[in-house]
Amino acid sequence: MKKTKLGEFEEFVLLTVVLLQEKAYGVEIKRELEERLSQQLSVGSIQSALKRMEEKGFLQSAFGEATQKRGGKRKRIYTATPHAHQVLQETREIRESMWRGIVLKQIKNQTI
Amino acid sequence: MSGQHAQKPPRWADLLLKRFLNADYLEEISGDMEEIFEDNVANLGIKKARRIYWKDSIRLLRPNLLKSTYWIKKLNTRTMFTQHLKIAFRHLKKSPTNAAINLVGLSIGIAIGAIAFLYILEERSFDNFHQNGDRIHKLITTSEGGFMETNAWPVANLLQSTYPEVESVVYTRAAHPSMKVNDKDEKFAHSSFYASKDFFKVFTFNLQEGDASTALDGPNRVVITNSMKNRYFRGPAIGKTLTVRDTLQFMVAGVIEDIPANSHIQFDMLISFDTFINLSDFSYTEGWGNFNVRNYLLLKEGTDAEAFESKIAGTYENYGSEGLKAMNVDFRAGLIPLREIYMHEQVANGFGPNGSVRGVNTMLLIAIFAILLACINYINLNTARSVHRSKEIGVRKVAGSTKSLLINQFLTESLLVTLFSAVVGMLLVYGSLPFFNQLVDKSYVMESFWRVDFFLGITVLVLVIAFLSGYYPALVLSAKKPLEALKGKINQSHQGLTLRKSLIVCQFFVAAIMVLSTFLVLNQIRYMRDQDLGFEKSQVLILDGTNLPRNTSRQTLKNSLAQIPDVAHITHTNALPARPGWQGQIAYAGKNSDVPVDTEYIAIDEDYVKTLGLEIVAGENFSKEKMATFATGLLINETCVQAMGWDSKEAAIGKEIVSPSGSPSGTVIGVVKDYHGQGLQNQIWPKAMAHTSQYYGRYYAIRFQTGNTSRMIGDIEKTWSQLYPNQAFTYFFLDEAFDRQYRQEDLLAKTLMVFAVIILIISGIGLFGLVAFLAVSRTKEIGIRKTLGASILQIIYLFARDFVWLVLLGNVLAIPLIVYFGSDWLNNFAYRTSINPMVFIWSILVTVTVSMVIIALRTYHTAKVNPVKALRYE
Repeated sequence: MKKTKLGEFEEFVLLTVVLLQEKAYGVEIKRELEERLSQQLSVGSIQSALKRMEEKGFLQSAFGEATQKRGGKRKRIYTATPHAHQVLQETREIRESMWRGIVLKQIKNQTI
Repeated sequence: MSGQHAQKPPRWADLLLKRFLNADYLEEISGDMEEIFEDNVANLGIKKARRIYWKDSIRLLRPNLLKSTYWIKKLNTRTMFTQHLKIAFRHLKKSPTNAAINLVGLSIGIAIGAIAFLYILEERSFDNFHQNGDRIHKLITTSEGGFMETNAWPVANLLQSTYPEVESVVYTRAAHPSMKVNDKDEKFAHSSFYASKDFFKVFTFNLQEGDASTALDGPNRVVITNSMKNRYFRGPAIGKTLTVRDTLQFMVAGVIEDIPANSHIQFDMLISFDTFINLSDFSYTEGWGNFNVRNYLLLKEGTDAEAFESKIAGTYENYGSEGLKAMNVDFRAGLIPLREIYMHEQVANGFGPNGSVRGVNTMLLIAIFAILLACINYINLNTARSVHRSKEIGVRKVAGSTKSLLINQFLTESLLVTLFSAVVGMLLVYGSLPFFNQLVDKSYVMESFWRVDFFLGITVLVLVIAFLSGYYPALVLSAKKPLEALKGKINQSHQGLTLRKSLIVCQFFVAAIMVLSTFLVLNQIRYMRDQDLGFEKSQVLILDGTNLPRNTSRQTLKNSLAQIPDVAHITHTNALPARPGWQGQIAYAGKNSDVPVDTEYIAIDEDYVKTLGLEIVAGENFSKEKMATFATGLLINETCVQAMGWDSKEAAIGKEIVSPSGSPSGTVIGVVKDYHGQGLQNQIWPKAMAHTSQYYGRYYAIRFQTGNTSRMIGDIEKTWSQLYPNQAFTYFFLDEAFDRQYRQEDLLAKTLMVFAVIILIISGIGLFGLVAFLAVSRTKEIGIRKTLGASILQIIYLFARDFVWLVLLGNVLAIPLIVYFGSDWLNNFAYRTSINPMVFIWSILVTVTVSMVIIALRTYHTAKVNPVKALRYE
């Protein structure tokens, strides 16, 4: 792996972008992630991750069409680059190869 | 708030994003934000949505989302800024005198600016807390004679029933001073007013207890302020009883929070107007001649107040009673918007404090003067000092500094000095606040300054001062050519000299204006005090008998007081100088006359003339020998003779005066020489006096002989309390009461004097700084002169010559201004001095002396230096 690493949060965001396909814009990504992580996220954290990944070449983006909502402002639709797909694939393989050798201990309910 | 506006995201948060976010991302991100906001509004409500919007906006401020160039720029200026700061500090340390002069001047300027700013803010904020503020108007009455802040009884009621524009009306009226609260065998005076039931519907005063809509509905109900409640009750007061004037039982129907200081309405207790109706013969439909209720109107939303005002102007003419029309005076109804009531110039406010536009303007002017002068000092000193810094500038330029960078440097320096001064200035404010409070009759504390608009204002002030005073020196200094600057030509001090000189003229022009106005006001006060008043104001003691029972005991009191040694004369009356009688009593010269004369009606007895030392110039006084005249006789003053149109005072004797109200009416038996019943600001009005003090008397005036006054007062009090054990004994002296009418003028003189001194100080230190600079740069010249035999005095003269002319010029320029505005001010007085040319001589004397002393002090220091040392200088 080169220096263009994918952080944990970035990976989540990137996966969401891939998952949502042509629906992948700021609000939708936020909504989807919030649901999956069951935790509140700020617009800033999502946006900052998106911009960072765009710079690193994981994402591409283009303006969508203007709608009545959002005060007439255009959405920016994100798509993952082939490079991103490749990196995601690599990450997944590395993880899975590691998981194969692991058996997790059953965590007991500790009463302290 | 309209529905559309409510759906918008917070504007400031939006601006924040616009200002700081990278422009490339702005559309997308703010679109996202807006979408989320809209969802949140639908799901969580507007309040929460706005809060989330704010939170998200702030969390959007991340380095990689911000404007990219922003940080780079900032980093660069920061280094330069620290560098500039360092240099600025070094310069301040290097020339402490210079720094101190700048600091003192600027901090005085800023202190005055800060105080004036607070004062203006507070004065302008009056009555800004009423929810319906823009729809509330005070109803007033105008006539050719002037304005009345009160109206005839039926007017407001009539307006409400006639015009749909009127939503509510309020009737208010001051309660009689005898409305004292009984508590534990004692009586306490409170400021009390009657008010009708819609008072709390129109005005926004928060009720702690009770219901706003019913609190004043029905007789014998009162609303009191929280502090009054705490005085008489523990715990909730609602439903409890207050005993007032011994016999009246009022139920507390409401308790309001204490009234903010910036309200033109101030009271301790409001009594329901229905109580007043029960206690008097008041009627909502009659009584067109009784101009003694104060009314407020709440107009319906969307009413054009001006159009409405012209609509109601003719109310008196169209609806007034026959009796009113017989008065033959053209009364009109008018309106004053709520926010203008406090500061209205013509119509006084009887419900609380009165402000003055002139006071605010004077304060503003003085503040601007002080700040300008302080800036001038800075400009003057720093351009002068440019010589000393030319080498530094030369080196900087050679090393590649640009002009704008140099300007930045000097501006940083002035900003630093100004910031220091602001701190010192606020300390000065802290120290002088009690004094200032006394001056303007306010009670500001340091906490009063703790408000956002003040901080914004003072920040702007500091920036403006820093810029004003720093920019020109910066320009001059940075414009030097590097070569010349490096050579360090000393004789450059002539450059910019004209400017410096004109600035000095400017300073002393302002100083002269202040000194001149002070003298002018003092002159007018002295004139007013020295005038023959037409009565003897000293040695008269006055007892307030307003609350005494109206029976024969009043005569008994008079008789027993007359027995006391040292009491020369005693009279019972309703009016004394500085305590006017019934003003505005319309009277006519006989039944056939139709010229109304606006008279002051005074109820007196046969001893009034003697006690006050009035002079009878025709006819005779009331006397016990002619008891018959008591019933119908009238004494009038000379002005009244003229107003009635009688040829001479002798001709007036035996003439008849009639009036619709019955007072004054009767036959003239004597004419008194005109005397000043009020301060000399006011004309002498026609007066008519009748022998009716047994009905209307309020005061006992006692003329006493020199002797043991305190023993006499003790005796008087003893007599009083034997007769009236339960009545408070209060007395005052006529001369003090009369002189109190000049309080405003005294205050003005005091204010002017204080600020004149301050401005003289500021100009003085400016001059000192400039002379100090010149003295230093002419050290060698002085050394040479001294070796050639010049005396110290001659050297002082050398310097003084240049400056005295400037000071004189400043004075001369001030003269036309003072002549113009001074006469304008003097015209406010019915009896005024002319502007005495001596005033100008005095002002010149003061300013020239001050500047001479300063110049002499500073030059003496240089001139006495051993010439050898001077020649070795540099």
